[in-house]
Amino acid sequence: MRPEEALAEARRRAAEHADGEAIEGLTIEPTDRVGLEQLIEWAVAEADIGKVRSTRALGAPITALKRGLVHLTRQQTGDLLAQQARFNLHLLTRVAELEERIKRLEER
Amino acid sequence: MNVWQVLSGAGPVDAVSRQALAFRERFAAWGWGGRDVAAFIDPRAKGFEPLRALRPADDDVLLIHYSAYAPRLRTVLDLPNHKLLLSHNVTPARWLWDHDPPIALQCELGRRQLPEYAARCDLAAGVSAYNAAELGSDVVIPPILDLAGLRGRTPPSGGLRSTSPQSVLFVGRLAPHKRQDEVIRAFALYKQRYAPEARLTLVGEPLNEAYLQALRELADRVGGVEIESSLSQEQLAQRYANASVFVCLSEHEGFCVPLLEAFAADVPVIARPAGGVPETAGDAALLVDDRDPAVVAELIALVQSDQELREELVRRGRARVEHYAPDRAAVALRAAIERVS
Repeated sequence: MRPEEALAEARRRAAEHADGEAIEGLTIEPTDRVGLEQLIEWAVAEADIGKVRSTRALGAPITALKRGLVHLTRQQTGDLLAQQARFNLHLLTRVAELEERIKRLEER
Repeated sequence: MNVWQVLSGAGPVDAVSRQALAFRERFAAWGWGGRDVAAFIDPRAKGFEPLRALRPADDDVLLIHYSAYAPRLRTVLDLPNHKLLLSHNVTPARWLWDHDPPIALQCELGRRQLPEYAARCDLAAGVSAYNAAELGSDVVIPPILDLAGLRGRTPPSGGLRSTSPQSVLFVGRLAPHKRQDEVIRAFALYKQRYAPEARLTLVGEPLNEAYLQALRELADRVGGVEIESSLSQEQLAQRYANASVFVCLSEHEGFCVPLLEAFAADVPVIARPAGGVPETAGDAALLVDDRDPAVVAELIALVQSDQELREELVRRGRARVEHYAPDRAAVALRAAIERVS
C-alpha cells in the first residue's frame, strides 16, 4: 500500500470496527471559554506547599528551607492572597451582574 | 565576529539549550567568538553563564532564542548591538490553564510579548516556516541536529524490527498539548484488536507531578504502557531502536524534532498535522487529523502489517533527514547572522 492510501483504508477499517470501549480517565480539553463558576474557583488562589521544591541534586535540605520560609511568611502571604481573592470575587460579581443586565436588555 | 546567544532559560535536556550548544560548536568552527547566557540556568545545565555575564562589544551580534516569557531579556533589547531573534515557538496557554496555571500564564505572556521582541530586533526568524510566519517573517533557521547516534541500531535481540514485539513510541514533553492521552487511547484499541502483547513507551519530562500521575492512572487502565523521563541520549536512541512505529498526536508543535529522530532511526511515523508538523514531516509521515482514536489504531495496525507501506515510509523518512542535514541548517544560520551583522 502507498502511504497516500493508508488513511482512507484506516478510516474504512475503523468504521467496520466501531465497537471500541471508551476508556475512562484523563481527557484533555483546551480552555477557550471559561465559565463563571470556573472563574470563581480560580479567583481564590491557594498556595500548594507540594510545589515548593528544589531541582538540585541533594536538594532535600533546600526544599525543607524553602518550605520553612513559606511557613514563616504565611501571615503576610495569607493576607496578600486574601486581598487578591477579595478583589477577584468582587470583580467577578460585577461581571456577573453586567452579564445579567445585558441579557435582560437583549430580551427586551 | 562574536555572537552572543541569549536564552530565557537553559536546561539539561531541553531542545532550545541543545540548539544553542550546537550553534556554538558551529560558531567555533567558523572562528567566531562570543558566549552563551541565560536569564535562568538549571543547575544541571552545562555551558551557560548568567545574564549578567552579557557584555558585548558594540559590533558583536546578539542571537536571542525565544521560547518563553522573558521579561528579564527586555534589557537586552535596549543594547545597541545588532540582534537576531530566533523563535522556537511558545505553547498556546489554552492547553495549560487547567493543568499548570503558572506555566499557562508564562505562555500567555510569552506569546503576547513575542511580536514586540521581534519588532525590536533587526531580524526575526523561526526554526520552521510556521514559526517564522507567526512573526511575519520568511527567514527559517532549522535546528542543527546530530542524528548519527540514532542510525543503524537494531533492537536488543539483534533481530529485524518487523519480528520484534510491536512497540509504539512517542517522545515529547509529558504535557496536555502533546496529547499523550489520545496516544494511549489509540494504542489501547490497537492492542485490544491486533496485538495484546504490544507495548507503548512515552518518553518526556513531565509538566508537573499531578499531570504525570493522571497520565499514569490512564496508562494503568490500558496496560503495556511505560512512561519514562530523564533518559540519556544513549537510552533515548535505544527506545527509538526498539520502536516499530512512532505516533505523535500533539496539538501544537513549532518544529517537532522527535519526528526527525524517528526518521533517522528508520521508524515509520504517524502524526497529527498540527503547527509545524506537516512542514517537518513532508511526505514521510502518515498525517491524520481524525479525532477518532480508532482511525489512529488502524493506521498503527497498517504500518505494523504492511511491509510495502513500512519500507516506503522509511525511505521517505531518510530523505527528510537528508533535507534537514546539519550542514544545510548551518548555512541558513550563518546567512541570517551575516545579514544582521
